[in-house]
Amino acid sequence: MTSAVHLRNVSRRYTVGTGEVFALRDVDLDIEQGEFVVVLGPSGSGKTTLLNLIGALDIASTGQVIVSGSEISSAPRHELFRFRRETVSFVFQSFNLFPTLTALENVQCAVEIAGRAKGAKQKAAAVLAEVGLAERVHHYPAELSGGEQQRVAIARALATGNPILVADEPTGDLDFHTGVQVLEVLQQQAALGHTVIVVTHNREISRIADRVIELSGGRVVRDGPPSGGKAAVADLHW
Amino acid sequence: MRLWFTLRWSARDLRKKWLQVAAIAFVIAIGTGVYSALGSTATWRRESNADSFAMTGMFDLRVKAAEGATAPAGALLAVLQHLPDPSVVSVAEERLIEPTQVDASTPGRSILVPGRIVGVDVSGGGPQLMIPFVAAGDGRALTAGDDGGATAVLERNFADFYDLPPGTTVRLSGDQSVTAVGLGLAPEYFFVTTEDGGFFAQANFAAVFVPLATAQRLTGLDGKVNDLVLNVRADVPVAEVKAQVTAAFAAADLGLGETVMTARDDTTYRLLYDDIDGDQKVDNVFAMLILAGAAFGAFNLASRMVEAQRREIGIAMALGSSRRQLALRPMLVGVQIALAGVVLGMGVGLLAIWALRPVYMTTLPMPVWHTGFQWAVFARGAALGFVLPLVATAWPVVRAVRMSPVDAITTTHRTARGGLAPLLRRLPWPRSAFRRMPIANVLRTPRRTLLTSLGIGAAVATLVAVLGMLDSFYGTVDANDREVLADHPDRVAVALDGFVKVDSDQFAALSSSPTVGAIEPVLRVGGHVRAVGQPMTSGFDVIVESIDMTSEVWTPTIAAGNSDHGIVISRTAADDLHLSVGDSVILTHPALSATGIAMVDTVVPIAGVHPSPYRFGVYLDRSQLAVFGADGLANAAYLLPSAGTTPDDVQRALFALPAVASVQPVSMSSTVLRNSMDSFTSVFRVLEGFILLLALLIAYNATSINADERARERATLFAFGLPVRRVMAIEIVEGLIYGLLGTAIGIGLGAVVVNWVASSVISTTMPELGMKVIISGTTILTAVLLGVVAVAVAPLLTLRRMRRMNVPGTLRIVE
Repeated sequence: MTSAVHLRNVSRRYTVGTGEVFALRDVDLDIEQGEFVVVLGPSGSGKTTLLNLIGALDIASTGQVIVSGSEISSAPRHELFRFRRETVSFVFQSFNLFPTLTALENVQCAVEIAGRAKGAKQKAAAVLAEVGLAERVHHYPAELSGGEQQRVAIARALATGNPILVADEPTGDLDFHTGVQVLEVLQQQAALGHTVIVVTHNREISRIADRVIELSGGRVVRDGPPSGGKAAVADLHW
Repeated sequence: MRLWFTLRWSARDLRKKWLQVAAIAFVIAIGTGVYSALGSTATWRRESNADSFAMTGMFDLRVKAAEGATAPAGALLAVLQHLPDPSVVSVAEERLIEPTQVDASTPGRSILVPGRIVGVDVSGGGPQLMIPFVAAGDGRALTAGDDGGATAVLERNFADFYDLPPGTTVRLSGDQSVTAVGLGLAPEYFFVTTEDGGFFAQANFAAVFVPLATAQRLTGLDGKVNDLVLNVRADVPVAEVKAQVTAAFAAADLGLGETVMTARDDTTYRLLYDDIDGDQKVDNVFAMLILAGAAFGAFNLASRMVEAQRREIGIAMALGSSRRQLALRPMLVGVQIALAGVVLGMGVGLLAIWALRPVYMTTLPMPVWHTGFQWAVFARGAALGFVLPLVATAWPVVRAVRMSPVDAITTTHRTARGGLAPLLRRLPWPRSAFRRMPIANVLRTPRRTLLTSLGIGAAVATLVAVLGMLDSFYGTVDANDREVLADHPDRVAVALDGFVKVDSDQFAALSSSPTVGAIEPVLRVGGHVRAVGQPMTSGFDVIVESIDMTSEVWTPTIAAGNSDHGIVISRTAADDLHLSVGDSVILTHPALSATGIAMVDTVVPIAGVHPSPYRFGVYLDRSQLAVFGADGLANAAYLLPSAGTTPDDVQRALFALPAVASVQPVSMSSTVLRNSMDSFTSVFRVLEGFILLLALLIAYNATSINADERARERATLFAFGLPVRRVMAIEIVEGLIYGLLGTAIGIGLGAVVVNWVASSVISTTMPELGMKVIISGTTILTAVLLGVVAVAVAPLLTLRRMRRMNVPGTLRIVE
């Protein structure tokens, strides 16, 4: 199996005043294609930084980051844009939908950005139907509930067809019931062969993952299957 | 929350947003500064007029002898001794003023104009009244040592028009020469007019100031004077002394046929004061327009800037802040903008004054020009400039505090369900959701779209109004040029000394000159027209020209009617009189009779109308000259140069003829008018610069605030891999739409303003102009370039910010 994500000796440090703070320190990590990975850790542990490095939203201070065969830690700026268009799709905690576009247009837009303009509308409609929003395609974000907005955001990420899906606290703003719906969608995508990486501080969510990576102080402190074995979404409680 | 804490927080806001605060303040500053400068012109002109006339000894009373009459030197002063109380006269001087021909030709250029020798009393360091003021660098004034010599001071407006330096030698009638030791501004010629009421006459009239003895020698009137100017003691009413002087001269019976005039009777003096209020009206229109444009722009920008803080207001609401506490911080932003705007406004005001001062000094050359900062006018503009940002910030604050905290906090708040969304849903184009984004942004937020477009529109409207005024002025001059220069742009106008028979030797001398190809006699007299049954005050002055309406030299175009029986007036005149072809008017005109010349009223039909926009041109076929009792007479002529000769050749050849007063190409009056127009409209040129700056600032600010509001959307697009150039393209297209809307609004509004100024202001301040409203293609193009292109490219100014955006940080704004 080819590594979808390959990190070697990766550190990310920030300059704060006259000193330096490490958000990540000497991280080695391999994530395989089709894995459903949950990254766990308390606030400030480096979860989001890890996600940003994998998604090429940020650049490692040192070390090597290879995602889907692309070395992104030393890639030029324009390569990072291309990489994000073709390789990784994001789901954000605060959705970040375009408020002036309808649900359908939000998804369609992402498909077009990914360079798949032909049939973008049909594809967008189909993906929205997959996430249970067939009846809400012409609604604007302000006309949707939080759960619906997050499902549009997931649909937007899925519709690009990119092999890696990264989600930063995708259930953070949602109630339990809606959060479960979102996780089911993500799990389905992993089953379809997408690599899904979910960052959360909610340990319960990690129970449905194939693999759990725990961070603390910017270091990987645990990497393996969920403790107590993998659970079904229906068994989650939080 | 303590006040000190809020103030410190606000200071941090200012540090973060100082560029936007400064830019909005600068928008206000341009409005208030230009307003204060333009709104001060009447005060400047009154003060400058008063001091210039005082400095050059403008007379309180003038006793002017009839043409050709003279008295022995000292005789006029002696009459003043017979006043009931001679001490009411503080100073009095005699002068000798005689018409002459002036030849100031330079190598390669003929300068041959009628003029006036003005002999002034230089004894005892005089003259003390009607002083030809010589500024530094313009040579020197006359002194007692010049008396009797061949030295002169040349009237500066004339000298400036022909670029004649001090030291120029001019030839006068009688083949005499004088050297202009200086160029001087005298109160009678601050604004040069001709006897027949022509304005801007500096190109075809020259006053030559010489010592009294020199004037007497040059004119062959040794020991003679014909003019007396005097000032009255400050504590005595001028009108009272005028009556006494009139009575004294009547009693003295010097046979002068004298007229006693006050300063108000002097054409230049009257015009310089009478035009002030009318010109200030025009300036006020533009001052208000710029202030309104700036105010609207600032209001829009300030409210949007505070609107961007709405989320923080919501958070503070959630924390339990009182409404007063909530309002304080954003209101402090308004105070910062207002204060900075007022301070910068003073700077811009001074800058505008600095830019306008040379314009006024060139347009109305006077020895003294006061262009001081007018605090009262500035205070009016500054008050608006101060209040507006406060209102602008209060508005979104009120909106925000009325919401529930959740609504205020949510970043999806701006996607209101209303707006023009239904329209967007029905829009078939563009099909791509990505390409729809800029249109969607514009349509889904109609209030912001409207405010932004109106802000841009206000600046564009101001620009269109200013440029449209220039177009209209020049278009009107062009329209007249097309009429008077049609077919024969080389036509030459000859003014004669007096009335001559067309079959006389004097006229024959003209027509027989080898330089003359064709000649047409003209009888030109001043007159007045009014509708039948209306009082004299209802009409207006005209210049009546009797010409052969079948002449090959020139005839007016007959736009309606004919020229057979009656007069041909301009369409503007017909419109102003509310008359048309076939109606009759009362023409007041001079008529020759056995006892002399008298003004009479004659009811004449309007035979036709001509298209010149100037309303004063009235034409009459020579076959109807009996009306004037002037059959076969002419006092002017139009002629065409013969083959191979130029108007310059004609001027040289005819100028020496005894009956000729002046010879000028017809195009010269257009050139003079154009030059004067250039000076007059220089004010608008100065405004143009400020307006461009204003529009660019509004565009930049709108874009900059847009960038703040759209930061998350931009970051999301980056996260999805959209390169900077494509995100920039979205911004540019959105800017283009705002620019188009703003420009359309601006052009429409600008056209309305130009129409209003033309119909309400210019028609009363310059009624003889008949200004037609023209908004040229160049003006539209400039407006489009500014409103569309400048606004569309303004996002490029945020390119650096976009490139340096902290994408993860921007995306992780938690709701």
